[in-house]
Amino acid sequence: MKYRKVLHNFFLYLAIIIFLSFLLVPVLEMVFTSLQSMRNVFSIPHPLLPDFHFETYTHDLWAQVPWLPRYFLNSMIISTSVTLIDIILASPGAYGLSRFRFPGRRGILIAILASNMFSPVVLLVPLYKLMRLFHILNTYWALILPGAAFTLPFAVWMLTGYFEGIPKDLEEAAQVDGASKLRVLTKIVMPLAAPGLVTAAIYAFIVSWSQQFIFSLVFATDRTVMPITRGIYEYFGRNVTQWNTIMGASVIALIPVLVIFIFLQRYLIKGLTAGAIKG
Amino acid sequence: MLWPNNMIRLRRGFGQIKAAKEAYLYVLPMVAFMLLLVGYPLAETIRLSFYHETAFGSNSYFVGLSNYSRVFKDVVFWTVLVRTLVWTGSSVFLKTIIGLGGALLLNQKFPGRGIARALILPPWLIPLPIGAYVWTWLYNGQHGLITGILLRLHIIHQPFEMLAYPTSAFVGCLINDVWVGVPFMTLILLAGLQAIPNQLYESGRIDGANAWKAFWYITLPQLKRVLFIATLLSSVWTFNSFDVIWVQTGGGPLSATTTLVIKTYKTAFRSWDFGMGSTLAVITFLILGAVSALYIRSILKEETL
Repeated sequence: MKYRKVLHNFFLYLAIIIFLSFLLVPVLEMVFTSLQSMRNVFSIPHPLLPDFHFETYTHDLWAQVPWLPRYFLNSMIISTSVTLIDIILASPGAYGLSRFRFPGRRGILIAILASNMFSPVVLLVPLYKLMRLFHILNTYWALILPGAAFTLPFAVWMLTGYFEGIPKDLEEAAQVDGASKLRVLTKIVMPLAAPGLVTAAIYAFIVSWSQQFIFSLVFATDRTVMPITRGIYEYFGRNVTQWNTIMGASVIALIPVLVIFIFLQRYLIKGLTAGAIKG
Repeated sequence: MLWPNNMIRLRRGFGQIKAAKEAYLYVLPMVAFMLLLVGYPLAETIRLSFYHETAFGSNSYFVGLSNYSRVFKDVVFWTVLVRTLVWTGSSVFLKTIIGLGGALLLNQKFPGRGIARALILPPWLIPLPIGAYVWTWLYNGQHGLITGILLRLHIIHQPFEMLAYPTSAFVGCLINDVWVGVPFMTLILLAGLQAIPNQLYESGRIDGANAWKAFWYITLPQLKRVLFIATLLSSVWTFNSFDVIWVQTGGGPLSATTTLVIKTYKTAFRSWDFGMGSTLAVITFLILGAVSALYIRSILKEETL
């Protein structure tokens, strides 16, 4: 019996290690490569461990990709704006959808579900023409507006579910006590919905950070507004050999996501599964 | 007797109109925003699919169904469509199998389970283009990790450039795409596994079911709905994969990795043919729409919206 248990555990851990290796080795290799010297990058066969060439981060990166800080800033500006627009539009929207039954409500919910499954590629041409018309190609708006449009449906869907979980009685009681509607919303509903808002915001931020790439391929090719995921591509597009700096720049591009992963993980898992389990 | 009842109904009716007005106030900004940035562009895509229009030329004219007939008569289109279906089918299949395996593993009780569950997230969190840069590097024929390992194990004796040959490039992109999709599958299925009541397994054990039978007769049937939703969503996302392919191969070599979205993008923004690009976009939209309809129907059956 004991023997079987040990064997069982051995195979369990072995399977888990294989499973996690598939997911994590690429991530490790990204970090390792960023710490390789060029001599190591070029050696054959590929060295499995880095030689801790920290100059990638202290010097090489900034010398070879001088625009990197700007790209990073651009990405931050775009993703933050997308998140703000999403929350500003989604929280009243989701509140309306969850608290009232009105003609057109079902239609809106179905449209939201459907637009969740859209590919940005389907709408690139008309969006391009629209932006050309309003002269916002190659501005932050060209990346913020489509970014918000493609993350809003999920935020609304998630928050609608969240608001539905908040009992209506609380609001009614406060209103009976003479609190104004605005006060009820800001003092009672929003604080209760805070975890849902955080989840929606994180999700919008992460998706936007990734999605900026395709939008910037078409709408913003100017370096002054280019997001970091696309900025690395500029560099990557040439006949690359400086893999240590490319991977270093990629690590830099991960910083916000990493911060979210470390500090806000519980919201992350909730957000990831909300779409399919609840929805 | 009728009167008060009617009055109540009437008052309630007014109340509803008032409530509806308030609701519209909340919903309007969001709806307006989506109409401008999704509704109108969608209508415009459909309109353009019946037009001849390029990015630069000012002459845009109605051509009826001729864009569509050109697409359907083009052998390349059918090749791309079949390739897209193979891409989607094989990627979703692998994601589901690996995800289910991972979910079953992480559902076991073992020390370190919390950390293991957190560690599956990175591939999903990492921006798609960044993940694709990393995989391109892993596949590098001279200095990449995969070549390095295969050389050390003496499986290959000279550098192998994965992304340079049609079939291996397709497989390379596919592995990258599976890597991106496994965390979602695992977490969704794990949530599904945790929702299965324990009594089912207990009564199964009393009836003498072994682990395999319990999996086949209890776990799988109980997981059916979650599996259905997860594979459906995953199919849509996989069908839509753009960054992974674009960064690694740009649709090549010899179009071996050109899926429908890549073809649509290239037609519109490499050949700058907006009319044909829109026609392909509409076809993409219709295929996705059919899958979304399945998804929405399933949601509507489960929940009263």
